Parts: sequence; structure tokens; C-alpha cells
Amino acid sequence: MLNSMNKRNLFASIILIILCGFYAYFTANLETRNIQNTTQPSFFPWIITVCLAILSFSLLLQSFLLKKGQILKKASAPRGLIILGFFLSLAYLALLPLIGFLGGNILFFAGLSRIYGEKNILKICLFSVIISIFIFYLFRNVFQIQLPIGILESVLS
Amino acid sequence: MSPDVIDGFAQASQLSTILSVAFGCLIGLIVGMIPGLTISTGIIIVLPLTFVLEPDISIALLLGLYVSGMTGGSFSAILLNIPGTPSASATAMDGHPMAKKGDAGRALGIAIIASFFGGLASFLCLFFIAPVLADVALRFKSPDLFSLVFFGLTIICSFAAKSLIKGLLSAVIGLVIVTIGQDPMMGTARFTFDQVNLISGIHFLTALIGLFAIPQLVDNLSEIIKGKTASEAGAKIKKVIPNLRDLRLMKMPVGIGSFVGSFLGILPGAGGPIAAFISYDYSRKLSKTPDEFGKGSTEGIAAPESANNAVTGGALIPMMTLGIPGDPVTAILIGALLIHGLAPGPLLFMENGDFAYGIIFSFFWANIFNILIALIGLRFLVKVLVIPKAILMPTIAILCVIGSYALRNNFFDVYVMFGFGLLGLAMRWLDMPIVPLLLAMVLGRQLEEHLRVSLISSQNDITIFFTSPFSLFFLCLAGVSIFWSFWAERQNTKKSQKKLI
Repeated sequence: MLNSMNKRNLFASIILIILCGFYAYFTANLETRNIQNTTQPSFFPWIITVCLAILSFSLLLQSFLLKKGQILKKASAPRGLIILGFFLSLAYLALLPLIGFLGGNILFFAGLSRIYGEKNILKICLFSVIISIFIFYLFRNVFQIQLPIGILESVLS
Repeated sequence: MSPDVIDGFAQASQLSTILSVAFGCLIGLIVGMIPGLTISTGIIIVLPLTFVLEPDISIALLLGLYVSGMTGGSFSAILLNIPGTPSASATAMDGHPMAKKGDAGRALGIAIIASFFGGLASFLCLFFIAPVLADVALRFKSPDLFSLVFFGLTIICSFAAKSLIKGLLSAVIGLVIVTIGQDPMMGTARFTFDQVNLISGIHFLTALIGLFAIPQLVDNLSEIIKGKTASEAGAKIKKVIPNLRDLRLMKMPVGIGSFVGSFLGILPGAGGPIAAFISYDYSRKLSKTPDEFGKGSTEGIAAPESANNAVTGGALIPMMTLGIPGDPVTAILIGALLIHGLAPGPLLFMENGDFAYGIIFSFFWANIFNILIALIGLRFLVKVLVIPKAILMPTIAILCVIGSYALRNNFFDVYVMFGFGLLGLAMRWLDMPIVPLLLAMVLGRQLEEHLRVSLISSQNDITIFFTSPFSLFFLCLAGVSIFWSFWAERQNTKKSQKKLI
């Protein structure tokens, strides 16, 4: 599916044309100011809209006009692991305000370490705890960046 | 000698600044040599540090990382035949064959010394050209500045992309993102959708972390599965200092590399890889032994290595004098300066001359520490190549998340970073370059401001852009850049179509 650059260009140009439509709609609804001899806040966004439209249609044309697109090699990326990583990141980001950086980082580190091929559970636990705690304290105490710790707040304070 | 020069030297030579440069060099060498990590990633790792450090110290740290990252890239290129950074690709062509002959130490020594001379040459360019260019740039008015920024964007698009349409599209997407937030002239909220977090816009450093780090994390996952190992890195490194014959042979390629690198560095978007390959090619053509190239030639290592380090000083020239970044690293340097309330551009030399010269001298120290740390610590540094990715990559991922949060102490920026990571992956899937988007985010606001100020001052008369000689000159250059890119793309398309037939 979408294994030639022409097909990918076609797909991208359609997405970009839709994006351009939305952008134009919101630009048209931007607030205006009654000041003489000045440009409105929508002035620059309109220029961008025109450029985006021209370029998106050019990409669309290009995807039709080029006779034979380059057939791309099948991606060697491990799709399953990438999807796993994606969902792990989503879960981490969703839980971050709740469990904070310390607990969140330990779990995220451990999950990623497993995805990147580490099989030894002891090593995973050890490194995820040590590195996460080290980074957390480095930022919180040395760089004075207040990283929230969520539900661990009551335990640690 | 101007008092600013003396003050700048004193500022750059303070113990804290020197230590910062040295630390930056150490991180740069490590990051540069690890395949899969680029200088931009290295900068992302240390970025949160710059928020809490003094501006001169943070810039010194980033400069050290920038300079040494270029040199570090050659280590893995020579030892493993895997360039640590794209700029080191040309070095691998002769560096690895020399290492295979059992001369890994010699090859690394040649690379380090050539890097030093390339960096030193570009320091001289920076020292002598930057103040002169800043003087000229002081005469620029809004229409000239608009045309200059516009030219900067077109040249970045043409250099950074295989397809001009995709390069320009990437830049336009960057401009779309820039318009989110308050209008720079009237303060009206645009495209904020009643979100408080969007009023101040999207910080480009957040975007940069997502755009560079997440695709790289995915890349590394693929490489681990392919089973690329770093076992050869354990190869014994014997003598590091090159012999007299090597030093004599290095003279000409280092000269070529330094000149080409410094010159191409000044051009926004040209970057290290182009400079390295052009220097390699010229050195081969002018060499007495062109047949040796590709088989472990001293000249073949010296030319690209001096070129890619010479690019660093060259790239600082437009950044410091015109406020135009030539690559992601200089874009981050601009971001680091802006965080501390310092705007790069001609006024930097006028209003903060000592600080501007401080940057230049920090660059000088970065080159000195680069050669010292690289030569002394080489044997220990290469051990980093065997650190398992299962530890390295999660550490980078965590640092990226904390880095985005620390920028404004806001979870929203973490989500934005992740969103940009997905955008980066989508763009790579489309073979669309990321650099124009990033640089458009840096330059977009200036572009809009100068355009609107020019039009207000001329009462909406667009001929103002053609009546000023500077503006006309930059617009012509922008036209040539676009025309040349179209022509080059057409030629490439014809060639590939012929091949397919």
C-alpha cells in the first residue's frame, strides 16, 4: 500500500488541500481591526493560504504527470515494535500528569528498554530505576526545574 | 583593537565559560560518534541546561558541542564505516579503508587534526567577516530585511530538498505553524481556538525536539533489528599522531576543505555534507595520487574533515550578523539567545559587542578543546560506541520529554513535542525535508513583521521592495535560487525517467 512515491505524493497533496481549506476558513474568520493604512491580522495568513494552495496543487499535478514513480523498497522498520512504542508513549503522556515524572519515567524507560531489545528483566529494572532517579534529581535539585511527581508527592514530601 | 574584542576575549576565557566549552566538546564528541545520534540530538539533550545557565555559558556549551560533534562523527565513520553524523559520510570513504589496514589510530589522528585546522580557518573568517557584515546589515531597512529573510528561506528550501515543491511545502507548513498565537503587530489572537496555551504560540524548540528526536528513536529501532553492532569499535588504536609525510600531504586538502567549508557554511542550508563531498572531489582532482582515493588516502580523510568543521564557523556568520540560521544547530543557538532576551542580528554587535565577540572567542576555545580532548581521550571515548541502545535510547526519550516540559513548565509542550514527532515521521515517509519547516518557524515571525512594517511605511505600495537596492538584490538572488532548483530538479527527473525506461 502506497509503495510508490507518486501515490504518497497524491495522498499528501489531498491532505494538504484539505488543510489549506480549513486554514482559509479560519483565516477568513479572523478578527479585523479598524485602523487606517495598516495590514489586518489575516494579511499574512492569506499569503500563506495562497502559497499552500499553489504548492499542494503542484504536488497533486506532479503525482499525476510523472509517468512512473519510483517504487520504494518495503520498509525494514519493525512495524509491531513501532506501534507498541507508539501506544506506550501515548499511555505515558496520558498518565504523566497523574503519576508524575519520577514514576512515569521509570515505567517508560523500562518499556522502551524492552522494545529496544533488552531481555534481561533485572537489567531493565536496575537501569530504569537508577537512570530515571538520577535524571529526575539532576533536573529538580541541580537545575532547579520543578518536575511534578503526581501521586508520589505525598510519599516523597 | 576595539574594547569589545578585548572584553569578548576576557568573557570567553573565564573559567566557567572555558569549563562549559570543554564539557560541550566532550558531549559533542560522544554524541557525534554514536551512529544514530546527530548533533541536533546532542543539543536537545543539553538544551534544558541552557535554560538555567548564563547566556555566555550556555552558548559556549552549545558551541563546544557543535564543533566536537562534527569531529566525533568521523570516529564511527572510520572505525565502523557508519558515519556518526551526515557530514562524516565522505570521511568514511577513505577513513575506514585505512582503519582496515590496521591504521585506525592514524586515520583518527588525521581526522582530528584536519578538523582543527578547518575549525581554525573558519574562526578567522568569523572574526574578520562577521563584524563587517554586521556593519553592512545595520543599513538594512524593513523591505531589505524582508527580502533577505525571504532569500534565506528559498535557499534553505532549494539546498535541503530533493524536490523544490516539497522543500517549499515544508517551509509553508512551518509558516502556518508560526501564525498560531498572537499577531506580532496588533496582538490579536490567531488560530488559538480559545486555548490559553496557544496564545504565546508554539515554541520552536519544542517542535525541534519532536521533529528530530522521535524519528531518530524510530530509526534506531530499525537498526537494532537489522543487527548493526559496534564490535569493530573495540579494535586497538595504536599511534594517533600522524607522521610528517601525512602532515605534508594534508596541507592542500585542508586548504581546500577550509575554504569550501567556510564559504558553504555562510550559505544557509548548504551544510556539512555538501561541503565535505565537494572538498573531497576537488582534492581528488588536484591530488598527485588520485588513484589512492577510496583506498585509505590521507588526503581523502583530511579534505572532508576540514570542510565539515569549517562549516561551523561559516554558519555562525549569517546567524550572528543577520539573524538567519543556516542549519538546525544555529537555529537552536538563536533559540538559546532569544530565551535570554538577546536577539541575534546586526544589533547584537552594536548593543552587545562584548557578548558577540565572546561567542566568537568561545568558538575559538571550542576548536582548541576539541583537538585536546579528542587526541587525549580518544582511546576512552571510542568505548562509548559499545553502549547498548536499549539504555541509550530510553535515556534520550526521557530527556526529550523533560526538555520540552522544562521550556515553559507545561505539559502542553510535551504533547506538542509528541505531535511534532508524528509530523516528522509523516514528513520522512513523504521524503519531505524537515529543516525548511524548522527554519521557517525561526524566521516566519520576522518575515511577517518586516513585510507588514514595510507595507505600512509605504502605504501598501509593494514597489518598495524593488526600489531599495539591497532588497532588489536579495529578491533577485531568491529568484535565481528558485529557478536554479527547478532546473536542477528537472534534470534529475529526466535522468531518473531515462533510467527507468
